Amino acid sequence: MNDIILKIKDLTISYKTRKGSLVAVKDVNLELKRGETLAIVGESGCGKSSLAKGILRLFPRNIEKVIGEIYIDGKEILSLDQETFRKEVRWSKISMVFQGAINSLNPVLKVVHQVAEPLIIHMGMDKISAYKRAKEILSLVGISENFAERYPFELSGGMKQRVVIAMALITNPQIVILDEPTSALDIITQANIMNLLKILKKELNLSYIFITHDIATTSELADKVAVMYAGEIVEISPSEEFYSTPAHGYTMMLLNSVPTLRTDKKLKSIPGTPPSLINPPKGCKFHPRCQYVMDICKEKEPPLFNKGKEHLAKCYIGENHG
Amino acid sequence: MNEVELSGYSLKGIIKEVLRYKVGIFAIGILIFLILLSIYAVITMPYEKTIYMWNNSQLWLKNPRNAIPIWWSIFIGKKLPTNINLSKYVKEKHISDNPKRIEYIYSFSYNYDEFPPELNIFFKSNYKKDPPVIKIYWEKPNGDKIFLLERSLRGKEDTLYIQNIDKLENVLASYIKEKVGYYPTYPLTVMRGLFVDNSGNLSIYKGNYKLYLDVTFNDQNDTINIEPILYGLVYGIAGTDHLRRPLSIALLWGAPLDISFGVGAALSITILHLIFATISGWYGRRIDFIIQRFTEIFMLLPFLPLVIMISLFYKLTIWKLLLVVILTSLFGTGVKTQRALVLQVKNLPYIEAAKAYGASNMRIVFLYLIPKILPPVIPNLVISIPGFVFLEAILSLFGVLDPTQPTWGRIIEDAFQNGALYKGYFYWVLEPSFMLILTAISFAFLGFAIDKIVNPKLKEM
Repeated sequence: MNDIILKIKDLTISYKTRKGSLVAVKDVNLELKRGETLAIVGESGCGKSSLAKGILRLFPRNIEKVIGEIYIDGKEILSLDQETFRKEVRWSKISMVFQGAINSLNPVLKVVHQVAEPLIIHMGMDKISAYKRAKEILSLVGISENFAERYPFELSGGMKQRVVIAMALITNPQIVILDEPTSALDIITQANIMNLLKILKKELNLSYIFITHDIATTSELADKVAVMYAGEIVEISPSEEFYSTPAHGYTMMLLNSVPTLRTDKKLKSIPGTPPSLINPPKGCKFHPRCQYVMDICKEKEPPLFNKGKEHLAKCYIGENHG
Repeated sequence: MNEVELSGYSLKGIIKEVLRYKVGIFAIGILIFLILLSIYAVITMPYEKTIYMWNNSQLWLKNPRNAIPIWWSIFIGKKLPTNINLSKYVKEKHISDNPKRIEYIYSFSYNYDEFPPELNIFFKSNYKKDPPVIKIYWEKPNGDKIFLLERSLRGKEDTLYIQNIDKLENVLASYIKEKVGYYPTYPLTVMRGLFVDNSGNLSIYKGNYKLYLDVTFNDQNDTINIEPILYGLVYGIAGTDHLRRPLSIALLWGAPLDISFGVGAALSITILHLIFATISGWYGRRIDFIIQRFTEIFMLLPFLPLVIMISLFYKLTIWKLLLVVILTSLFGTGVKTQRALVLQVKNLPYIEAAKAYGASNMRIVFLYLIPKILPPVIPNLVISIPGFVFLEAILSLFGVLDPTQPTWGRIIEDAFQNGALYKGYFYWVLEPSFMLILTAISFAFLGFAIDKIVNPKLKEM
């Protein structure tokens, strides 16, 4: 039991907008084991980042309601009050690498101070020892001491990304949420960062929640892959099964749209756009775009079907429904 | 490892940037001059001692009244008299022992183009029973010795204001009549009578004069100390005021007082506005509402009349005035404009990141928001400094401030009260005005230069 470090139960997050209530995350159930990497893939606007920020309780101002439970190390965190949560959970148990590292560094703080910030805030460390630790962790991610004394604008994109990763690791958290950590980088830097993440994971026994829209990078790191569509997790499966035997119509079409190195196939895009989250379509939310659409898809929302060992999908394909 | 030079965000770097502009060089030059002046003032004249001296009129009796600066005579083209302390030229002549009688002879040359305004003789005597008796003679360059007066001293410390003794006018007039043949046609004063030549016109007799003081003591052990001073029309680098105080003291001390007042007011008001704006923008909701309403109320209050009223009710010193100025502008336009900047910045990703790694609200306000919105605020801060320096001057000029502080505004007020412009003492008004304008220009130019640095778009204009 103790192996499950993060458990999300029926999490629903909705925002208030001028047009009405927008359900960004709907009935999400997730489990993450110690040392495991869970990849969450999906299109832009499918609720990946909302889910990630929801775990850290970083809600925007127009939040309407949050229903469900999130357990970290068996402790429910949504019911904690703001201050306790800020002090006990944020960064000490769970940290995050933000989308677009270029913008998530304070432009007026030196890199080493920026990295040391969580230590100073959470551990109450004095500046000197915090800086020392920050320099250690910076060298772990491959930033030399020479660069530690610089300001963020003096660093390249890849270096900034490393700094942000160093910052996420400095308090020895158990879970690191990586919100598209490589999306702003070129391929070579991407590969470097991915390798770095792999090494760090092994060395520090971290659990990752890896959020991306790039299925190719997922395959390198993930043990488990969850596919999100319109705020829901439509399929969740172990990494090997995900690529070989996708069970959801969306996953199948998604994999068809990704180029592979060894097989020669024609790429197919998915027609249409993601549905409005304010007025989602009836039945399966993917049915207007699905090439495998059946009558029942338009009428009834599919439940989670068991498609294999630890493999679940919300899809009627291959199911006996009558 | 290569030590790459970091681009200058240190003070040194900023100054280097500023010096790239001509106005910057000009501003920094003046500023350095003013700062050196302030440092010189603070080091050479301790504050308490200066204030004491400035407000003690007895200390300045040996200075000329309303003397113009020495360098002024260059423009006039005349040789104007400076103060002459005659005790330097003394010769003692022992006349008799019983009664003890000593003659003090002061011989000096007078070659200036104007009559001296005053001749005062300061006596300090020590006696047992009766004060010494003094006989005063005056010898003109031609050797004529005129008996001026005889009197006994009125106390242990006594002063003879020679120019104020009316009966001397008669003595001198009859001397002139004797020499010229008729009474002087010009209005005769004592000082004129002492220094006029025998041509019948009002012209100065240049040459060696002698002042004889024949002192008869009452007792053998009585002593006397005499200091005759012939006052000049010019004094020092800045002249003197109506109380014979050297203006250079106030001009020097005005620099640290006025600049620290201006910088103090501008700095604290800007910082307070920054903090209120950031708190207002960051917390939003009720706090925002309260701060914004307060700001509107403060913006409606008429600042200058309010400050004048407060200064009238409570005789304010310059430091209390600083407090009043800060309190009356706690909230102002700065709060509005900077709040707008905060609203822009607060949604940037790095702020969200800071929230995520657990930075407290106060930490975000002071370490994340304020540094980010600081750059456009700094030129305004610098430019607003002269405004406060002038405010101090204006309030001094209205006579509502503590009169004991030697500030620039105070000198202008004194000059104004004593009709300086009417009487032709232009230096009295021009000197402090020049310092005020110099300060204003230096800070304004510095502000422009910094503005160009933090708003690079202005560089192209």
